[in-house]
Amino acid sequence: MTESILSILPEFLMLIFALLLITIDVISSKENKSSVGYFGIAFIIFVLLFSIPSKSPIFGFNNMVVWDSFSYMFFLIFAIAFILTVLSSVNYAFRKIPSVGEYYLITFISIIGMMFMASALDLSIFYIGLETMSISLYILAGYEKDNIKSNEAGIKYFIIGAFSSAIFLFGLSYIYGYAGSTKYYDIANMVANNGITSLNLKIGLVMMLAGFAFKISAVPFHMWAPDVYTGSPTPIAGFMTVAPKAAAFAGLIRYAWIAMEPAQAHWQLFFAILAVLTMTYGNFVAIAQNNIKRMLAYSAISHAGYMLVAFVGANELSYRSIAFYMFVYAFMNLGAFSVLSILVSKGKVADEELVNFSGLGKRNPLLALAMLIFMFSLAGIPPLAGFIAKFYVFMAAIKGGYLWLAIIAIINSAIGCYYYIRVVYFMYFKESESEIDISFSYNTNTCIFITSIVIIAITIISPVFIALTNTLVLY
Amino acid sequence: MEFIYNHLLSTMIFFPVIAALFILIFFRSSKISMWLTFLATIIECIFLIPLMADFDKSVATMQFVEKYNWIDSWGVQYYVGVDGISILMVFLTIILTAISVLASFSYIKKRQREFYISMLILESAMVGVFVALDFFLFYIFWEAMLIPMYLIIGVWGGENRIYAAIKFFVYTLAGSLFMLIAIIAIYLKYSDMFGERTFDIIKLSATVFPYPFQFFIFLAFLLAFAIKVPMFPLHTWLPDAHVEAPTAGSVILAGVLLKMGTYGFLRIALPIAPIAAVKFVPFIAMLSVIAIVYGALMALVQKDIKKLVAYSSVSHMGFVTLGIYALNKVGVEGGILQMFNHGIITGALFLLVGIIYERTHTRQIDDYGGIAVRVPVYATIFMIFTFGSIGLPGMGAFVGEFLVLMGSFLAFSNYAIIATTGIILAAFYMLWVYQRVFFHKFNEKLHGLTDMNIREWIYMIPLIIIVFWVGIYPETFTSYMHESVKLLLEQINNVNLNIAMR
Repeated sequence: MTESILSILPEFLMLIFALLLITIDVISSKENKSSVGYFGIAFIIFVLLFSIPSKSPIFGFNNMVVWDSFSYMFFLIFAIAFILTVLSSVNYAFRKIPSVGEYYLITFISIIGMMFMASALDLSIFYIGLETMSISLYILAGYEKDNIKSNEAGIKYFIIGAFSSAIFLFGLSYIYGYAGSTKYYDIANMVANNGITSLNLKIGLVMMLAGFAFKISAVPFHMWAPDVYTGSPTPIAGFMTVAPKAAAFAGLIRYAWIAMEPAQAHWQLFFAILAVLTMTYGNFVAIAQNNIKRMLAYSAISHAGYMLVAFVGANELSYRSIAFYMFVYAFMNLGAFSVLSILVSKGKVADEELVNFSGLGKRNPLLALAMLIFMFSLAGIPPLAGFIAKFYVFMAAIKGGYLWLAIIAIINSAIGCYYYIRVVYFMYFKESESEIDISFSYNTNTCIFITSIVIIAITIISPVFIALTNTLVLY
Repeated sequence: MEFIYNHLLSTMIFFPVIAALFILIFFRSSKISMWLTFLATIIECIFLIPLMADFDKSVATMQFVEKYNWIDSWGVQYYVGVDGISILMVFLTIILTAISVLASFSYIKKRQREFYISMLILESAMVGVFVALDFFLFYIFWEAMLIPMYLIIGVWGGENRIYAAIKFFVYTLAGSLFMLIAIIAIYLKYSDMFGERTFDIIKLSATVFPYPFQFFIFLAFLLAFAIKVPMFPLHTWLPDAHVEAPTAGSVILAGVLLKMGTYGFLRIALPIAPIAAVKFVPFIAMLSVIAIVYGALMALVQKDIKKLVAYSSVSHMGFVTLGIYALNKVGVEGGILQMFNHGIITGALFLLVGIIYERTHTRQIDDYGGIAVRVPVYATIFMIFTFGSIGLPGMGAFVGEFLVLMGSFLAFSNYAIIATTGIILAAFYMLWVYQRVFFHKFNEKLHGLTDMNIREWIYMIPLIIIVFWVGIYPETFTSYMHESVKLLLEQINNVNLNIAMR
């Protein structure tokens, strides 16, 4: 156990690079703003390689932050989300977004906030990370200035996000009042010594967990999610279904496992209920959607539910499986969103309507094949990666003694198949109905190619990834 | 060669997929991909020769075993092997795939390349299911099969294909998800009991799990496999899927996919949960008998030939489950032989229906009549398989059904007696449909009907040979399974005896 300032080195490096990016943005010409994104990718890969954690975790600032394999795993997920989002943005941003440079920059900065969320061992640090991330995302959600839907998304996200942060903060103050400290270890000690009967603690806990639930868009705290995801620029919507959710899960796992470990039975029940609601609601509403972007938004809600199922298991498999799930989910969801981002409807319907997919199997077989892979993987059909991830999650729940929850999850994933397969059905079984263009770009194609290859490959080389998650240990 | 022989099963699993990739990448023309696919399935048949010839019939253990660690930290292995139960299924799968590819040459008219690629992927997954000895691997193959089959029904099927495809998909998926839960539960239970993580089916079969646990496990497996077989109340997807699927799809569905359910009982449900299995016997025997009689009665009233054959499948598969759950040597062997026969005979019937449908574009019995005058050869072959389906002595199904009835008479005589009515009803509906289609007054609309061509001859001949072979000298086929069935029954009986002694 080492105590060192090096614990925030990755975040620090990211910050320096963010400042560098501002400079790059200023000096690059108007046509070349995407270079900001490419530099961002280069920087983040550099930090990834530079910050591989050693076996023993590095604590910093008197146990307020830690850099360990868990932080790194989630950083990896954020980085993947960033890289894929940038790749699929270049083309999209060129068409629809003014002042592109900042767009990449803000995405980059939001990653710093997420990293702090994943590595915080102190509520105040966590909160700062949360706000850094959220404020960046508020801006990104409303980035398509001329699009009224995007404006709505930005404002809605901002108001509800601020509201949930306030609730979170209010709960935090209760916890602080009770424990006299914001550090996870101190809270854990206090709770272990005094039990959980205190009303202050209960109120604080419920409010904080509600705040977390807002961020992972668990039902009934999900109201903002569909509108925000639908309104945001498509690549950003993909980013928002993956990275912030991963960050919130990372923070939640650390908080629940370390600080609230003595109150485990209570939050297990709380999240078991949330998990059932989230999965079921997300799935059933997704069935009714005719806009793929909206359908993916609801599917993102139901996927949060599956991860909560693992979370409720409360054993070491839980956080490992969540990390693995997030990792796989990043690829499949961002892949699907990047397919969405290159469809341009010529008719009156919106770009992302389901009818635009009709006959895609004939017009663009490779794109359709990629979408088929993403959809079947999201549905969790073997041998694709989504299956292994789901398997892991169910295993965690059953190991924790929540067989009934696993059964509900499994029934839900059968229901979920319906709407994913509907997309395949439109692509392959229907004749083309609407006029649609596919805006070709190397970046997006690379992104789609990478994601589909990884989804197929993860099954075959899954031992590597699962061994990687097995190194995750929470301290 | 040496390498292929040492990895024979892996070669058989992955060769079709590799062939499919090869076609996908290098060839655009539908004609070439059609012939290449046929070539690939023939090469796959050639791999069968060393497998069938070098299989040691005197031992019950797994042969041609390949075992490698795959996901180490979960205990997942790449573990494949064949024994007497699975080898016949592998044989059936590969023969039927080759035949149905050949049968699709003129039937499939749109997007041929994609069709043949789907067929090859399907073949890989099917062979994989029958040889996988690791639960995880088994489940992956089991589900991987769904995607190509869904596409085959949904893209190349009949008018109502989309409904049928989705129904098929949702039914099967729902069942297999229950199996997934059971698999995870067994896995965790085993690691609790022995501290070792494994998905090894053989190892898990040798373990005696506590009884209430077995009950739930068996229930989950029952649901999964009963949907696939399909057993009585869960059969409703089958007529739709069969009728809408293209000929090749129907052949594979009836010939191979249905067998996976009964194979699952033999390989997984019975050995892993023997105590629960014995307790479930009366229930399953009842469902089987209901399926036999109900399927036959439903077949009787169908107006569509293909639907009739589909319902007859429900009835025939009832015999299979009845035989298996007799839990004696005769019954189980009869059940396995009947699985094989049903694959051949029903496969052949679907092919025959497909042949005539290609010419007339109707499957309604009323639209035919007296066509034996125009197509004597076709009528003769149809006659052979009609008798085969009824179970005429000298043909395969007779031996299978006889063994099943003998076995089930020993185990539960009442049910066996009711089951025999299934055979009588089979004679009724098969002969009746034969009469209405081939005899009676000639329907003038079918004036230009042509008889079978060379290609159709080529793929019917192996089936005719096999159906008579099994009927006349079944020992060639049953000799493969004697030892494995004996071992399976010993396992089940020992466990139950031990429980009774306690």
